[in-house]
Parts: sequence; structure tokens; C-alpha cells
Amino acid sequence: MIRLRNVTKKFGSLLAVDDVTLDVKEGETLVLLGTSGCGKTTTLKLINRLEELTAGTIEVAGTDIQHQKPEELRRQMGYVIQGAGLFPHYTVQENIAVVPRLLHWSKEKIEARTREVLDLLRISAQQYLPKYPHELSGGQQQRVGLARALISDPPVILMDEPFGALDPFTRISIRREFKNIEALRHKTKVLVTHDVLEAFELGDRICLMDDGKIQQLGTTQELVFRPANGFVMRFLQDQLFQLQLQVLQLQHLRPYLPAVSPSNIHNAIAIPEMESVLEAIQILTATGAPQQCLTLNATTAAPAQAATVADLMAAVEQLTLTLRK
Amino acid sequence: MTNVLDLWDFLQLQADTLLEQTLEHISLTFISLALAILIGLPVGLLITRYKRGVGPTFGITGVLQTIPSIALLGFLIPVLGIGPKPAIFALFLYSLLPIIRNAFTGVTQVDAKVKEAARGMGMTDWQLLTRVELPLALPVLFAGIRTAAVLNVGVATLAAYIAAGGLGEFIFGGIALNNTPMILAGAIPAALLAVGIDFLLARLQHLRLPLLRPTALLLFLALPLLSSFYLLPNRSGFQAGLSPEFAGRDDGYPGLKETYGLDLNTVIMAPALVYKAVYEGDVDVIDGYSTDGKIKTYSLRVLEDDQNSFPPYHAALLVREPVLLRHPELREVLEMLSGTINDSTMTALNYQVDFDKAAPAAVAQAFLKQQGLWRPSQNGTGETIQLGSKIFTEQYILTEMLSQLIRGYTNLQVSARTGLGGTKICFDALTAGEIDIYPEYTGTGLQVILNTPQTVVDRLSKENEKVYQYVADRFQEQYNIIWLPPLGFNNTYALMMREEQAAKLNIRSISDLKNHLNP
Repeated sequence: MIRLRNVTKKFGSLLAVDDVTLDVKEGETLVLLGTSGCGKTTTLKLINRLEELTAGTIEVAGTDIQHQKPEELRRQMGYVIQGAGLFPHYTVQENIAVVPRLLHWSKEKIEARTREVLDLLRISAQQYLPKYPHELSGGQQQRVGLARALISDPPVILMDEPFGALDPFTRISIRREFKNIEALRHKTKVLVTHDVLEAFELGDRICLMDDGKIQQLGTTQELVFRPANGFVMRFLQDQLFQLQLQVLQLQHLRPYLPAVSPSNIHNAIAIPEMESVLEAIQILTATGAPQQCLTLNATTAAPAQAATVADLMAAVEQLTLTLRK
Repeated sequence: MTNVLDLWDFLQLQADTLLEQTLEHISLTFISLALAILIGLPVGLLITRYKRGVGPTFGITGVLQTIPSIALLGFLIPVLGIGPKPAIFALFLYSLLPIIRNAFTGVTQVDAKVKEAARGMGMTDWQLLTRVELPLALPVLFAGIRTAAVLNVGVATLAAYIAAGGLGEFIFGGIALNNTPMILAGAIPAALLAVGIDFLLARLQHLRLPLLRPTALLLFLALPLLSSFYLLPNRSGFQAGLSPEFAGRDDGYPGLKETYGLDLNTVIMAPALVYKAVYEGDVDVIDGYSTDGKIKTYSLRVLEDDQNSFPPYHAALLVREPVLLRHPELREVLEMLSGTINDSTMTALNYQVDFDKAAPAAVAQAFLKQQGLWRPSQNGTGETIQLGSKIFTEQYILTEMLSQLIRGYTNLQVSARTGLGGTKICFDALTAGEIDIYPEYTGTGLQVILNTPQTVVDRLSKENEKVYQYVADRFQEQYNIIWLPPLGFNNTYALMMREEQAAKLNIRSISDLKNHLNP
């Protein structure tokens, strides 16, 4: 969907993006991860031409972006930024209607589509539409920012630290909501963040950058279990164990779990096998009984399987050893 | 208390004029403000896009702000003439800075995140400006307009300097005539106007954003309407430019009206600017002083006051009687000057010092030589005679002549104490014996020193001889001071025209002028 080829951006003598080549596949979420100044935001802005290329090419949906007017290019992409960037002099309704008005939609179409989007985001139209941004909480503003990006149903959404301005608690709950928004699932998303956990929670693939260069581009599992170089290893070190639990799904553990059939277990909890190990452990520990068993609800042909937290941890250890080899 | 009553009387008497001046004032303020918005706003917005223009723009407008208003008006006369045009242009220049600066500041201070979001959503630069930056900059922009408006109300009083009317006419007229109610009649409405406009615009500025947008638009549309109070008067026919003092004093223009039945189409201007205005042809006749060096600089013709409307201000030497008694030879020497200097001669001498930058001593010597009066100094050893003078060119030159004559013809020594301020200081110094001789004017002796009752003045003032005799008698009687025979010139009010035009119309006297205008 988006192809970057040997993309380079210089600010004066400063090399902000250095020969970056990557593809974003249709429907996936690619996270640009790195510390501030690593070139991730600049890379994002090159895609919608808020910054202009120094060298290389970028194609979106098969068209070279240099052959399009920047404004028209941008109207085909949603753009969500830190703190939402809502217009303080517009109501929520007017804020959401900005892009449709730029696209000269009819009033009826804008209204209908606004309600649709707000429904998708589970925002109460009646309550929010007449309000001004300063009357909303940070989380609410961010939701409106998202609605504004989604209203024209663009195939591509670019997000620059979308949850960066929120407090940690709100950030986690909004992130969870975000993951479950049906309307977003089929969009091609590029998300910039410096938050490792956020990257691994939301990303299908992660592009870890440093000093303008790609250090590693791969799936979350690849980054955790096959770090490409010392930088990647050091970058993930602090949260490595949590990341491992997060990127592994229950189904990956099947071969390493005792073959206990759930039918023999009293009051077991059922969890789908696509769930991350981290999530499963959190659910089990939340019940307060560490010996509690859970059931891996098979979505595939494999039979259901039961395990305790201790079983899961032992299985992770074995699997990790295998993957590292 | 009496002042309050005087003010009330004045306001009742001048209500029509006051209303007219207030409307003129409002119009001047708002026309120039509208122009400044029309030009300043786009410039301010443009330099947010072309940052290289920021420095030069603020540099130029900043410098404009520092030009003293009277100087600026002087520069504008040759280009725009007099009347509302240069006044509006000057006000326009003064209000540019706050408007440009606030437009620029307002737009640049809009949150960078908001601008980024706007561009990221696909707004063109124009859409970004009109839909996001401008609405968000409105409060700051408005503050700039408010500053400019209040500033303009104040500066617009200066419009009276170049015949553009407004409340400044009362203010400057009042100052010139030492008439407090008149000053207040102009100053109080001007202050109220400033406070009122400030208050109204402040209310607008603090309106919530959604209301502000339509209001700003409305106000902008209303500006031309507010401005239209002022129908730009076209210059019609023969025009007189008078200084406020001359226009108001009984022995000035009102006296001319009475004596000659002269009815001029007048505008009021700053004394400093009338000469320039007549020279540039913006007006045709002005008032001034009959021996002013500028008469020569600007090639003007002084119209003869053939019916003696202006009080005589004949110059003569005042000498303490005891000095004359001790040194009888002195009188003879001093009287050598009597009748030798006529108006145009004095004007020419003043011109040489004021505009050719010649030293008063050299000018005096050249004149005496030309008259065949000059003799080298005898380096006398006798008593020292103290000469005095007021602070202006004419008196310096006269003092030089006296000292050269006394040194050349007598054994006396001379010491000059020039620059003794005004009439009162000179005269007090003379009566106290600090000085022995100084040049004075008959009209000043009559009105200022003797404080002669108006009835006596009225009886005397038309005839030079009688005035001279009257002051000479009184001075000798009361102060033991002798008026020597007049020097010959009369430094009084005068009407003047461009020489060229006066010659063409064959106007020599005020009667000629009257006949030309109202045959």
C-alpha cells in the first residue's frame, strides 16, 4: 500500500532520515518506534508531504506522491497527532466536518457520516457535537481527533504519538478501545511512538529506528526473539520479559503444555488461543487463585487444553529457548 | 469654579462647532484606521509567509512611528498639500505599526499543533490562513486595531495643524490664546472619545470567538460608514491659512473683518506650517510677522495694512533717563539709527542671519557701512553701557548695531546682555538698572507693560503717532524711561501672499485683497 524506497531527508546538514526502504502492507499496522530525534516522525511526515523528500521515492496505492498535489494527497489519508490538534474555534461537529467540507460533501452526507463515525467510536453525538474542544477531557479530544481522521473513510491513517498527551491510565484504556475499533481494522496504519509497550500492543510489524536508519523491521516476535543487532537488544532489554509474554499467543505454547483435557477440570475459565500469554496470566491472577486452570478454546482443529499459571510460565521458558536458537 | 462656568458658556456658544469638530475627529480617526487595516492586515499576514520581510517591515514602520508628527506633516505638504489628505495619511502611517505587528503576532502564535493538523488534513495555505489562523488570531489582531484607534484619536488633534479640522482646533487655538475653556472644550471630548472607542473595542475583543467573527466583519463593513461623516472638502477658490492665535485675537482676523469687511475662506494651521503651505500654493494668503526672515525665503509679499487694522508695533530704543543725562552725547549716537530701518530692510537682515547663517555682528556692521555710519572702535575707557535684548534674531542684530555705534562714536565702553527672555524680564532689568538700553515695540509697551485699558487702546490703536506719544509720555512719567524716536520698521501682524500671485492679481494692500475678493 505504501512503498518507501531509499528515502532520505536532510535538514541543512543534519541527516534526519537516512536511506529508509520499507513497505506497509494493506490493512496492517506498522509502528515506527524509536527515541526522539531518531527520524520516525520525519519519516511519517514525508508520507503525507508535510516534509518534502531530499532523495528517494514514496508511493501510496501505486502512485508516486510527488505527482500529486500535497493537499489532495493529504485528504486521502487520515492524520492523527498528539493532543489531537483540534481547532479551538470550532465545535466538535465542525472539527469532524473539516475534511468533508474540504472535499465539498453535501451537508446531509456530512451529517449522516458524522453520526456513523461517532457510533463506531461509541461517542454520544448529542452530548459532544455542540461542545468546544476546551470543554472535553484529553481522552475525549483524542477520540474526536480520531473521528475527524476517520470520517472520510480514508484507506490510510497516519498517527503521530496519538496517545502521547494522555495520562498513563487513560492511555491504556484508549489504546485498548482503539485496538477493538472495527472501522480501523482494515485500514493501513502507520503509527509513530516512543513507547515500547504501546508499539508491541498495537503493531503488526515494528520498524525500530535510530539515527535516521532502520535498525530492524519485522514482526513483534521477530524483534523480541531475533533482535537484529545490539541496539535492538539494548532498546528492548528493560521490558523484555513482558514483551515476550505479550508477543506469544497461547496457541504457540500448546506443544509445551501438559495434555490435560478441560472436561476434567472444575470451574475452568475459557480463553481463545489467539490471546496473548500476558493477557491470559493477567486474567488468571486477577481471579486470586494461582492454581486456577484455564481452557484454551480452540479456534483451530486442535482439541481444547487446560493449564495453570505455572504451566504457562514453564512452557514460555521452553519455547523461548527454542526460539533463541 | 469660574473655569467650569466659563467652559459651560463656551460649550453652549460653540455647540455647533464642537459637534462638527467631533464628527471630523471621528472621521479622521476611522478613515485612517480603515486604510491602515486595509494595507496593514495583508502586509502583516504576508510576512508570516515570507519571513524575510519581517525585519524590514518592522524596521520601516518603527522608524515611521518615531517621526515627530509636526515634522511628518511638514514633509507631507509638498506632496499632499494641506487639509484632510496629509492628516489622514500621517494618521495612517502611525497606525500601521500596531496593526501589522499584531496581525503578524496573532498568526504566528497560533498553536503549531493546530496548524500541523490543518495542513495534515489537506488544507491549502489559503484555507489554513482563512479558516484557522485568522480566526484564531482575531483577538490579538483586534487588540492591535484597538491600540491604533486610541492612538489615532490622540494624534488626530494634530490634524488642526494642517487645516484638517478636528478637536485639535479648539485645543491649539486655546493654547495660543491662553483660553482655558477653549482648550478644555477640545481636550475633554477628545479624551472621552478615546476612552469610549477603547471601551467599545475592548468589549468586542472579549466577545467569545464564534460571536467575534461576524462582529469583526460587521465592524469592518461599518468603517466606511463611520468615515463618511467627513466629506473631503475640496479646495474652493481663494484660501487663507491662519494660525490659531491670529484667527482668535481681537486685533487679528476679527479686527480685519471689522475694519475692511474682509471675508476670507479660512483654514486653521500651525504657525510653523503656514509659510510652507502658502509657498506650496495650498493656501493663498497667510498671517505672519512683518519682519520675519521667512518672507524673503519663500518670496512672499506683505500686504499693506492701509486702514491700520493691526496695532502698531513700531520698534524704538528704550533708554534709562539718568544715563542720557550723564552722557548727552549718547542720545545723538543712538538717534542715528532712527528711521533708517524699514520693514523690508529688517526682513532682509533677519533673513541673512536665519537662513544664510551670517553672524549678527557681521550683518550689523555691513548695514552700518552701507548707511555710512560705521566707524572703527575708539577703544574707549569711559563708563560701561549695559545693552539688553530679548531672545530673537531681530533683537540680536539691533543690539550689535548699537554696540558698534557707541564704540565708534564715544569714549564709552559697552557690554551686551543678550537673550533676556521675554518682555517682562527685559523691562524689569531696565527699571532695576541692570541694563541701560534695549529695543522695544510700541504695541507691547502699550498692552503688555502699561496694561492700558481697552477703551484707551481702542482710541489710540489706529494711529501710530498717538500710540508712540502715549507710551513715551507714560514711560517717562512713571519709570524715568525715554522712548527714542522709532527705528522705522513695524513688526506687527501681517497678511502675506506669494509675490508672483500678488503681482498677477495686482494686490498691494489689504484693501486691494478685499476688493479682489468681494468687489
